[in-house]
Amino acid sequence: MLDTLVSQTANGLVLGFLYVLIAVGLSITFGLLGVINFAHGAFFALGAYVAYQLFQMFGWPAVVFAPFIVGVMGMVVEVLLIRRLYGKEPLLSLIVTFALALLIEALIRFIWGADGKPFNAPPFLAGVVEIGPLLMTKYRVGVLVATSATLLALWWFLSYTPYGRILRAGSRDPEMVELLGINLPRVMTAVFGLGCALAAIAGVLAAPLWAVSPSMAANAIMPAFVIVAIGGLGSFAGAVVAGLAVGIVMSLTIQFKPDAAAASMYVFMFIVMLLRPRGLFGERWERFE
Amino acid sequence: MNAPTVNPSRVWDHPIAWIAVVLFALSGIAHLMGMPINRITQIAIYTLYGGGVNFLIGYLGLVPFGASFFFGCASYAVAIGAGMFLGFNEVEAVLLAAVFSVMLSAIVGAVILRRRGLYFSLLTLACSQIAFEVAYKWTSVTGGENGLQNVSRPLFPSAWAFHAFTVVVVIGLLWGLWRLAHSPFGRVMQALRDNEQRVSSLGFDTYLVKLIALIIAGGTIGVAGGLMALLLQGVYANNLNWQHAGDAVLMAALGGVHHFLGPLWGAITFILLEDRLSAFTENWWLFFAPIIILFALLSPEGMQGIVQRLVKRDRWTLTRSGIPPRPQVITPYRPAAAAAAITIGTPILSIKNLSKRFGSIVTQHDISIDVHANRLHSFIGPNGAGKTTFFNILTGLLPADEGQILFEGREIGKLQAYKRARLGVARSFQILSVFPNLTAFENVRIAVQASRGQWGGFWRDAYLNAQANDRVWSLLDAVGLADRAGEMCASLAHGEKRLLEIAVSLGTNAKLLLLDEPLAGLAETDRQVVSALIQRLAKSHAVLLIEHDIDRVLAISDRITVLHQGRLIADGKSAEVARDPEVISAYLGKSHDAEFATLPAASAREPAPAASAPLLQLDGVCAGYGGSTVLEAVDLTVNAGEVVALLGRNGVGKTTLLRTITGALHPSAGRVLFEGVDVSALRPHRINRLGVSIVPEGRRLFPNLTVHENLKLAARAGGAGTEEIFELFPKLQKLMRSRAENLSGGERQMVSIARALMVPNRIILLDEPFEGLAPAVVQEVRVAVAKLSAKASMLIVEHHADSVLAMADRAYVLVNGKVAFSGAAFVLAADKSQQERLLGVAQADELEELVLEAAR
Repeated sequence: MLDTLVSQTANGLVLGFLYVLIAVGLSITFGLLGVINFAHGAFFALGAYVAYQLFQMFGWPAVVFAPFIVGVMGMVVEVLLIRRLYGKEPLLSLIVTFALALLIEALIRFIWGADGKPFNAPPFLAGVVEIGPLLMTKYRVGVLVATSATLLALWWFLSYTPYGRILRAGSRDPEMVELLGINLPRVMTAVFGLGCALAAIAGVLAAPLWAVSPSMAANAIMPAFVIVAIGGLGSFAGAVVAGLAVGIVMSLTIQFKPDAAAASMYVFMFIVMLLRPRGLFGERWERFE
Repeated sequence: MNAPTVNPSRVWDHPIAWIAVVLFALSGIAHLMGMPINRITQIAIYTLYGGGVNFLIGYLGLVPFGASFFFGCASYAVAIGAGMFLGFNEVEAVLLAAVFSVMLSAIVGAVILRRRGLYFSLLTLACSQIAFEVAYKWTSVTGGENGLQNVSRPLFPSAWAFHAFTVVVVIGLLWGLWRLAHSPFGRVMQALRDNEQRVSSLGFDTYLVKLIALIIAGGTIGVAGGLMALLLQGVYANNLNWQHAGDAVLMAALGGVHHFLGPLWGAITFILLEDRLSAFTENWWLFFAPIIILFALLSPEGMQGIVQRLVKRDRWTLTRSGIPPRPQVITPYRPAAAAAAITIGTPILSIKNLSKRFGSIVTQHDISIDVHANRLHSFIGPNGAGKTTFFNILTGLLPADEGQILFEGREIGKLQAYKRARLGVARSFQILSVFPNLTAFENVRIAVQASRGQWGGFWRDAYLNAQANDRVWSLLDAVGLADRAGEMCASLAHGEKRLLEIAVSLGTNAKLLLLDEPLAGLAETDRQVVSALIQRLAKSHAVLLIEHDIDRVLAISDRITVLHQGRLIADGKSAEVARDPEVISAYLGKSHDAEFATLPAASAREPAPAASAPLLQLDGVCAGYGGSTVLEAVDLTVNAGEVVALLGRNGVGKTTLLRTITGALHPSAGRVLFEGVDVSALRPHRINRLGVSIVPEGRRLFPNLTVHENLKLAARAGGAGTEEIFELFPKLQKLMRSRAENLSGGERQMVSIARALMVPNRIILLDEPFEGLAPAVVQEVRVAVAKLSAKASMLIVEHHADSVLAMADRAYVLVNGKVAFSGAAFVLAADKSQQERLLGVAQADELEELVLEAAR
């Protein structure tokens, strides 16, 4: 019994870290651009598909380029489409990014077909490791390492680099950032690309765990929304705590009542929102109140 | 009395007639073309679905992105009901769907309406996803993946009979929604969509309005869901999944959310396109998504919006157009007699020891005042003294930290804003707070409706209330807007909107009126009209007035209270207050003469080389927001090395002018030249890199960054180093690691100035640099600013003439968006009568004369 609890918690951490990665990208994009991106999940799926394609064409090492490719796609989308939504009413960005999400999903179906693609963990991560009572596949351990490394790097980037400073400042007062001589349109393009690339990293890592299929998009976007709502808008720490909590809650419900797993996440969110309307770590944010 | 008729309209103007005709025509076409009639039934159902959703989007301004929650749950309710009751017929099914959805939306709404905006959209989406999970996984009840196929249609078994039934139900319910939109309740919804805070300050419980609207919409959507279950004779989880969650919102947006018929056009397009596209591809979103994206970006008002523009009737059609007819003779406005007899001597409003802090800044410090009925009580003080914040605390927009607010002897400090309004506290706002998408008539009518306590009429047309209409006309006439009654508020001129704001505030018939700078931005003739109105009001009401126009305040007030830096420094009769030395020094800044002496006066500095080419030049600049004009043909020049003062009262366009220079706002006409190059089309960061920096109003530091980070963010090669900054502001040395949100006002201002110095500058724009600072800090900042003038040109925006004229070379005065004075600073400094005329500042000696005169 205890063993199952421990191993489910470990699985929950893997799932949670992937969710955190998706949610952090969504949160950063929303914080600076003020646009809620329904297509974020589609970029996650795109990450997995591009990785699949690269693997087919060039073998394993090429897979690391998938996030960059998706990031560039994101920047193109920002320039063509997202840019036109800044400062407009939220209904417009809801509709446009929602349609974009469905468009990307349709494109995926069109290019790669509607059925799932097999995608196995790389050979050097095959097999299992035993850590005390815990039995985990090597790949899951690898995902834990990769996601936490990415998050640490991102945290360092946001806290200590000039670019991170611009991002943090811009989330509060973008116009003032521009008045200080910073090319805001370019920053916004880059941030949208960064958000998409983060989603794509999660997509690449998730590919061997979940089937690579068009429905990946829908399976990623709702947890990401839920985590952002629980953690608090624009809070990095909030996204991490909420993501891990959601991952663990879901894994534990999978163990005991598998049918209720997805619903448990929403119930968790409603409880948090009732107790703390701005989320666990949410600050009062004048721009969005 | 005969009820007035409202624009006797022709039948074909009625949207319900349109819906009926279109649905009949579609049915006919389907019959002729041999198309299955089910498709048309589906269009009718989706029109109702979209209509319910648009009731929230178009009329209330909330976007229920997961409206499929109500639709899908009602479908399941019908299917499960069909399994429980034998001989369950269609009428019972529709009733069950309605009752179930109403209860569901009441419970869910009570929770999710605590959040607004985007959160509301996402929460409804989350609801639909929970419902999907339940429907998909709880197989024993919902049939899981396979759904339920047990719904029978005993009354209308054939497709055509059911079609007829559906069309009747749909038209009936949409007719109900159309009526509702014109009822008092529907009118409040539309006002709330435009300006929730104002609706609340009129005394409406906005939470309840939203909840009831959500219940109505939920019920409507639920009936559509029930009809869907009957049409399919079953139910599937598919409708609840996230791809279909937005269906109704997309349909409404496609047709046009600001048009009653929008959902009809949207539903037709949606279903016919789906039909056509899925005939040759399973992947129909590949084609449909680009259509939606293009439509959303190119025509925000949807399909009907395009048509309206083509036939040159570019307006919203959420309600019938037009207003009740103007009476031949408008009853002159009379302030309603105050309801209760007031005991002489007891104050109507009594404030005891009120304090309020924002972080480390105290905006109200231990304030106690009494306001009496039938008196005109003025509340004055320099900018940033905390007057508007004080009003916000009184009306419940902000909570006080300490102290009591007694209204008619009752503590109201903990009541919500709308409850205070209902007790009889009304206010006007300094910053325009009206309903832009409603007519001028409707703006005032909402206030009159509030005064009559009729927020909850759900059926009778609000425009049929003759007495209320008369009152509205009287109020509009009193402020001179009767001729403009039918205009949309957004298309009124700025001055007219200010007058409208006052009419709205008077409309509520409150016992206590809080007027926040009602004269600002008005032409002289209108100022006289409005002050006369205020004086008449004060005969039957208690009026608390914030105003900068001192002569007028002294002339008309019964009592004056002076606030300075959050403290009450005087309270008494006009004459007493005006003689108070503390008031004179605080309000008029006269006793600061000593400070000026320490400054390098403009004359003492190197005179700016007269021959130098202009550094910054504004050439006939017009600018404004959303079609309205704030600046009109402004010409202004700053030469290299000059210090120029830009003066003017609140709201004349000073900040707008700076925004136009920095590129945050592009001029609608005219040019901004920097060193002879036209920069009016450049983005702000390009202009900043040419050497234009701003120290903005309200400092605008990044609160989540440390002082060090705030400075580093701006820094570029050639700017000031930290040592230079510490020399200028030694205090900052210790604060480098503090987050900006923890600084005091003065410290923030220092950081804001330092931030502007981190880059090489040709000119620095300072927007109200001394506003809201304590005297000692003002002095420190003033010295720093004076030092800067050696490094770059400066354009200093101020409403307080004395504080800048001493250090400026030249001055401009803006009045209502136009340059009313330009010339040497010392000329304006010496010409008190000119200052008084342009800035409304009576100087101390004259003030005394005025007061003495009044006392005689």
